[in-house]
Amino acid sequence: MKNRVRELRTERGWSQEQLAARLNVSRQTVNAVEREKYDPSLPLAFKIAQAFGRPIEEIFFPDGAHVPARGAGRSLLPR
Amino acid sequence: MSVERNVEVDSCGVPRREHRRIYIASAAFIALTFFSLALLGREAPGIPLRVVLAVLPPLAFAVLLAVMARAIARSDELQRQIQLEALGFAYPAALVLAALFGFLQREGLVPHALRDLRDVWLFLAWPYFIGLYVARRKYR
Repeated sequence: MKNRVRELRTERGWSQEQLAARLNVSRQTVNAVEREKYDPSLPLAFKIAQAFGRPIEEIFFPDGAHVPARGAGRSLLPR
Repeated sequence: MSVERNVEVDSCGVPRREHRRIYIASAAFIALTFFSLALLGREAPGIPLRVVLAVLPPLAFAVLLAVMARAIARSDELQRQIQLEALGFAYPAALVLAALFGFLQREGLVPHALRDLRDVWLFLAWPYFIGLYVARRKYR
């Protein structure tokens, strides 16, 4: 699964530690999610969406989906 | 939606606030083990007392494992996933190791790997630490 967690975090000027504290998880978990090595559970994905104030579908995308550039319209269509 | 309760974890994925419980349980296990061994070796107590002394260290070990299980349960979801993968590797790997040494030992190709049943944990501990190392690297 692809995601825009790193992009949204850096947009807000948060460190991984700060985001981890907001989500009540370890920094390693934030790092693994950002690097797309770990797919978060649905509850954690909702917490991430809540932390960024965005709908979940604007942050997480299925494999093969086009992840739009910053500020562009979102699409879940495969490339 | 479940609520994650921990924030800061150590290099082993254990919440730091659980450290105190683990230290106390570890100290109790070590103290009781030395206490039991000292009393069992010094004199020849009656059978009931020997049973109590022999059971005390494993009981303390069970408490230590329960404290560690509690710490893992309070870790965040990635740390629990890492522990699950480590244990998922360790258990079958320990069975394979035990079978391997058993067959080789039966044919006299290796010296007796275990002096007695107290050494069984060696077969269980090493695969767990290998599994933990591999799982932690996977999500780094």
